[in-house]
Amino acid sequence: MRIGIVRRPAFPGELNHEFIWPAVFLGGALFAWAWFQTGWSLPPCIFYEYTGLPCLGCGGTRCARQLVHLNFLEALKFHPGFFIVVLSGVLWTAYAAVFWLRRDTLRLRLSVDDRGEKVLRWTFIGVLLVHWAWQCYYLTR
Amino acid sequence: MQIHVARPPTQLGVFSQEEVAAGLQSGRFLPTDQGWREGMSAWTPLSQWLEFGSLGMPPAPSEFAPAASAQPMPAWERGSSIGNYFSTIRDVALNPVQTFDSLPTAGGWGRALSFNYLAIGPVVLLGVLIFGLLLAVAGDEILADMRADQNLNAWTRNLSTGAYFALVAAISAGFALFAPLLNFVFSAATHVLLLPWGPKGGYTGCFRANSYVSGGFFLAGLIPFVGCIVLPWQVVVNVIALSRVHQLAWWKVAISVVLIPFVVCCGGLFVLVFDSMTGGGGP
Repeated sequence: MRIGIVRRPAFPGELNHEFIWPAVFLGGALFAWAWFQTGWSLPPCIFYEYTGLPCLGCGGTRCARQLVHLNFLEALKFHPGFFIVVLSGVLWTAYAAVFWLRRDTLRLRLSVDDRGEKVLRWTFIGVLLVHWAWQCYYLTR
Repeated sequence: MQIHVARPPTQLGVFSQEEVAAGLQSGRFLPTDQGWREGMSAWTPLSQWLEFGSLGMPPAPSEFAPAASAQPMPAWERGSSIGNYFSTIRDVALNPVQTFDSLPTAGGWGRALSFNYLAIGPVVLLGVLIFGLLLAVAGDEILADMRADQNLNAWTRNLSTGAYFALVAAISAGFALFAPLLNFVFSAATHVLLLPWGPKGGYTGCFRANSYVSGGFFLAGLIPFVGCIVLPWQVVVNVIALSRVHQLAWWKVAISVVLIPFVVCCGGLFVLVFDSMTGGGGP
């Protein structure tokens, strides 16, 4: 099984991950900040309204609000997944900045073989279940 | 040493030299597939690798031949013009099966992304202009509720009509710039949800299908009363598009991209939007 990070050139036609994801991340952060400034709120979660249990997205907005106010521990508790996504966005954007400044040709990519892909898939499903269990506990206290 | 193999714009994976050689002979890999391994400065077609030169590589499978000679669809794939732009909207909305059967597998990201920008940008601009016109005619009446809403920040409540228009225009511009990029995120989620079924089109296929469908329906979805009819059809077309691109049964796609998101809340938002469009007050 192989799961690792490799530095390699982009193949012809490959998505420019060093441009797209920082753009998505910075655009999303700017949009979220502007949205919170207005005081407008999002519609309530219908899954929660009908079942009394949080959905996988519940807590995400509260996590974002805490992040805007730099309360990192509270943000992590409200939605660990969203927190990790934002943290990954920050790290990837920092890496992309270094990549562009150095005018590098080798790009960081995940290198996974077939078996590694299966392991990652099942791990992902397991993590989602654990995440939901945490949400059910923390958001319904 | 491990060899990375890609069939642009999709990476096929990492394989041993023996696996690649066997794959070339069996037809799993094509001579035109790109290969790279550590130490190389660029990707090179497998047919140019010395290691595989002695293999009797079969020509590309015949199933690719009709796709290569057929007219690519939607029309936007054939070139950028106003005619192709409107033909694409028509192809996607009215003829999704043939359209997504003929979507070239080897196409890149750029065409689908540019179509999405061109579908969203002008509609948002038009919406802002209409809103500005309404504000100019009856701004105080329109903003009366907002100015009385104590839940909003004080500065939002105290905005003049012109400043409110500027705020809405700025947010709309941000949306027009940002929304097409969100397709990268939605398509990643779509791809993950389809993975258990073994989708053939990869992440790129998800992105191209989602971009053409969301772009093709963007204008119609925003028209009052038309939107509530169009929105369910957009969901159906999206299922058709993904099933054709990934060569999966429609019900498998429906489970992954309709049922599961519905259960985990995205569907709640859909119900809310649908409910508001049909005149309901929401839950």
